[in-house]
Amino acid sequence: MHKILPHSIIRAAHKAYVLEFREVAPLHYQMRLQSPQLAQFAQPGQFVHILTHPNSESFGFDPLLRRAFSIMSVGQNEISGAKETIDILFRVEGRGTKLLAQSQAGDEIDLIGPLGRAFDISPYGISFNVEQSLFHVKQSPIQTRAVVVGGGVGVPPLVFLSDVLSKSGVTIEGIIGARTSSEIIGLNELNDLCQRVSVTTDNGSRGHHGRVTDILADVLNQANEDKSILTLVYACGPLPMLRAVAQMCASLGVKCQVSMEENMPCGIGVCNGCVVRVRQKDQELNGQACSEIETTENWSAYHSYRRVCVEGPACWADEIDWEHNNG
Amino acid sequence: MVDLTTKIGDLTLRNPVLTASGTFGYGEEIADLISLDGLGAIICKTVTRRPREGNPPPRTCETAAGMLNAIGLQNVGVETFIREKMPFLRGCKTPIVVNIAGESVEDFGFLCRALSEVEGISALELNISCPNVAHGLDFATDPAIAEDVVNHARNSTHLPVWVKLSPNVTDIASIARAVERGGADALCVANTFVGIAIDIKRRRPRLSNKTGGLSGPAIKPLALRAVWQCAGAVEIPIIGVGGIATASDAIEFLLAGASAVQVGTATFVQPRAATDVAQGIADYLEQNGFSSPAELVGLARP
Repeated sequence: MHKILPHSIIRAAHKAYVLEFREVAPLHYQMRLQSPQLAQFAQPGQFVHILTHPNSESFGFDPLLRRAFSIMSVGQNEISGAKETIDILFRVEGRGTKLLAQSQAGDEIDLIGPLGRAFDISPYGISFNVEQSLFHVKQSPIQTRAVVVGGGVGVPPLVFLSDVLSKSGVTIEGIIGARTSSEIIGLNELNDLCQRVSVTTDNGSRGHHGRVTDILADVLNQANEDKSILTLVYACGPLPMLRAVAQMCASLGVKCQVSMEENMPCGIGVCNGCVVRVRQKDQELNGQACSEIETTENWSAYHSYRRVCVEGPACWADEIDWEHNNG
Repeated sequence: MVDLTTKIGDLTLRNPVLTASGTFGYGEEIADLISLDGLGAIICKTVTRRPREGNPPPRTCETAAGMLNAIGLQNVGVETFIREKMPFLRGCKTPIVVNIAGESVEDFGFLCRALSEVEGISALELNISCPNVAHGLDFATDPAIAEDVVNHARNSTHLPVWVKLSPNVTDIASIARAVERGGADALCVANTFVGIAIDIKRRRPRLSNKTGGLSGPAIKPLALRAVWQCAGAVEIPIIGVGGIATASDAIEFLLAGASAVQVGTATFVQPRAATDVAQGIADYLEQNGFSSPAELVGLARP
């Protein structure tokens, strides 16, 4: 069985400055934040937890909680090459994102990050060196390929992932799904990083009229013809899409990771609010404890829920109990 | 010169700001983000006799200036708690209060005995008021049952027994008096208020448990009134909890008759909330010519 994905390494509270802020599609905003400490340690799949207004107290704590945003990219200083900025991209959904959409360059943002478990890219021989803030790749004789599948605002973390993978020599196939052509996010970024990007829309206004899994089926069937190429699928998007991608990968025997989502009050692992149901007990978390206590059955039951904020968002798809996570 | 040192019965705390159970994990989850040394005490996530898996998701949703939760007392169980969580907590320079919940009077007795033998625990907080489990509220809604369970716990431990009351009752003062008769050393007033939120797109409750406990700034005036009522009913110290996010919130609770406060949901917004509140209380005392938090306790009362 797979191991639980590697732990987030360094997280901290930061004040970050908004460097750039623009509307990239109707109600979709991309924000570049200056935060060298955060940029240095960020890995694909991790997120930041943002206070959507600079001073909660003056707003009467309404909206109350922080909002979680996946890291879309890390930017380097043009001269020194040091990692200094991160980008996030969000869609205005409720009052928190509406407030954040009023941001301007120069604003100070209160955020905590990088948070959560990153996508596991160790199957490609890639590892993150914290001291050097660099991704290292062990050269391998086998060919490698990744299929990234993003739905709507689920695309941003896959842009960061594709950047790291492509720099390490992994061939990337991109599939983006959206409701309409105007809501296609990250296409330009993925076009630069992927061998090919396919687009699907629910209403047929652009690309394939249908679902991302229609395209994924073809891609994976082709991949299955040449078993010598190591192929992994990474997906982020609405739960029904993740479920469909996970089922397809399982039936075709392709390993898949998904980025899970759930209402997340604290983001740091203290509240147990943002859990998803997992299929088998988390042996890695249990350690030796399981056999030592009388109520083994209850113990495993405790671990049938996993916190998205610290044991996710990235999870192996075959660990998720897809039947019992609704949405 | 301001001294924040606060006494709850025989227990001395460096300041009157504690972390509320269920909002601070077992301390280790948050220790990399804030200094635990700035807290009055750490109150751990509820521990039960056996491990509990908790409720299915969604467990939480945000509401106006607050949030609903129905975690369902997910926890590792007392045995694992003692073996795996206590070593870290024991190493903290801050007093540790362990919150416990039982399904029966016997469970409370068992937990009190088990934890009394453990080094590094300063007090026990009896959760007789969790709204999100089958019989969670039973102990907190009937004065006779509340007195019985507290009495049972009292006779099962040498540790100070604090009792966390439910605000979801008709007359909290009568419960407070019963709990005092049962031998409690302090009251924690109060817990979350039972609420519900409905998703109008799906036309279904937002939480899988349907109802949840409302917390956050939205409940502060309600919790403050509960403290006010209890302060007029009992002699034992009261620890105020409910919607406290700032020093001025905490000072209101002290003025209403609480000797200390707990910061809960605000920690989700700002991990350093509790330490900020403690600093803010010190500033207020200094600016207003007081030398200790105890001088504020009950000052707003007639």
